[in-house]
Amino acid sequence: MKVFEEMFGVKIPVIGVIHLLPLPGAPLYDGAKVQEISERAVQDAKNMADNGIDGLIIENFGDKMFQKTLGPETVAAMTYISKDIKSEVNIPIGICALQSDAISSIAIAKAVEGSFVRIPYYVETSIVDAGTMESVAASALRYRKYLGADIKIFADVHIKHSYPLLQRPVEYAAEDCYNRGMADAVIITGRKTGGDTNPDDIRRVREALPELPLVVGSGVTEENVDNYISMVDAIIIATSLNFGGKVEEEPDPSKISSFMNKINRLRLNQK
Amino acid sequence: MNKIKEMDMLFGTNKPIIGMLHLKPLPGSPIYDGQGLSKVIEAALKDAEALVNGGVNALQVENFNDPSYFPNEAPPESISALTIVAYEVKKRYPNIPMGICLLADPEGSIAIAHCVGAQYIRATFFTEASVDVSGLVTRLPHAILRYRKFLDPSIKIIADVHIKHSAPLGQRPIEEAAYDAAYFMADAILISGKHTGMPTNIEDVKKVKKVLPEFPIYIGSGVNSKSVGELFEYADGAVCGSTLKYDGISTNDVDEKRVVEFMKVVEDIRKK
Repeated sequence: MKVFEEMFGVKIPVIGVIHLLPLPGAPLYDGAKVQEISERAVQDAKNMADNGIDGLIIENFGDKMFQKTLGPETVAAMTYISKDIKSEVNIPIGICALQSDAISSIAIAKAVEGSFVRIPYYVETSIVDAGTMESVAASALRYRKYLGADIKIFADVHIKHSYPLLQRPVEYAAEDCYNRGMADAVIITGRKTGGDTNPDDIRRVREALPELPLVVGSGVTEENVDNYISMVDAIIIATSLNFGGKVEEEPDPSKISSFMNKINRLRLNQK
Repeated sequence: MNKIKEMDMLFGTNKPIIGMLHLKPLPGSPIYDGQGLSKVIEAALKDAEALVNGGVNALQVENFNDPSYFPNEAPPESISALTIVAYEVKKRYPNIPMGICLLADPEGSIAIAHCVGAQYIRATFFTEASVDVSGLVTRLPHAILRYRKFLDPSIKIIADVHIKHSAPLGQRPIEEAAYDAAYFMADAILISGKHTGMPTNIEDVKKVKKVLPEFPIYIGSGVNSKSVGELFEYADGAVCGSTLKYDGISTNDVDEKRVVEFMKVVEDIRKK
């Protein structure tokens, strides 16, 4: 798909997630200097980039429970760290400010010259552990225009850890996300971080919307990637590339390069 | 140790001079040029170099060119941009004390200061509800102090009273406003004239010093090599912007020669 080839320079790019340690202000923050948190994130980012990953999402994963709107301490810390990563790796980066703060994500991406944002709750209203998440598409699109930001929006539908109020087939949600919400790409996930994405969900969206830039967003492994590769335009991956396949561990260079070798072989077979 | 000595230690001298880094317009500013941050960073580093070479004791980073300012809470694009510029300046000059002034958002300033390792913030409004050009400024010192405690208790707060470009809602003598700001845990008080670059009234400084003899009182506008001698008979430090710039104009670049000359005058005063 054009949006991905232009941004990442390859077909079916693999986008790794940099799970940041708890940032200042978060319940699990341990008092580390932002500089130290940043050093670890930069190391993970280099590890991924050096072993062939095509792009990165920087996410405040350690800040649970997440806030709907970031405090200034999180905006400042994510900016600081993303800036460090951007100057140390040569692949496109994107921002994901959890829970789903599209405005802060776009602001940070603009400041650090990021290429995209991931917005978990974009055109749906969902029930989650934090309460009700509402559609942010209207304000996100206007804010992007206001800032004059050339930043792509990758938006989830039926995202993991949530229950959409409007119970309808995933392909209907994807269609609204793309056509009405004007997302630049739509992400499909399983039920939780690291959990398998149902290949049938991907298939239904693909068949209904052949022109949609489609991303598989959770649970991809070296073993199961064959189930998705012929149907998706990009892959978001983190957990299965870590040591022991555990979300809290660091990325394992040998797993990354092995995964990327397989992807490079599979890419040759794709049209 | 009294507060004056405590702040002197932070700045490494008595009668500290804080040099202003007036940033170029940031993304979202009505006068932002749309060219990204690299030119903003470049200009800030150039001014910082002139200030540091000229011998100032601290750098204060401020989004001066984002008027009119958000009266209570700055938006995320300003926080992000100011974080990046302050970070670059701090990286270049890690040993120069730094202050953050995100107009007009003390909590946002504390957040940035913590992340980049700056030592203090300047709160343009702290204990005074005021009217300024943006409308009502209803500062919440209880929230600011708790946010500092929550995020980073080491960060000092230099607070204005009766600040330029505004009128406090409670009309009372400046020394009473200053006393409250000190009583409610500001770390230094800043007194300014009516507008940026305009002289601070020496009578205001005398009145405040009289009620707060052991508390740091800094001058926030219009200090120059002619006025600093008299002002420093009462004041404990100063934030300097316009006077250190070419032709003494706030929108010009910092003039290293002017900084050197000014700091020489200050050095002589310190020795007395």
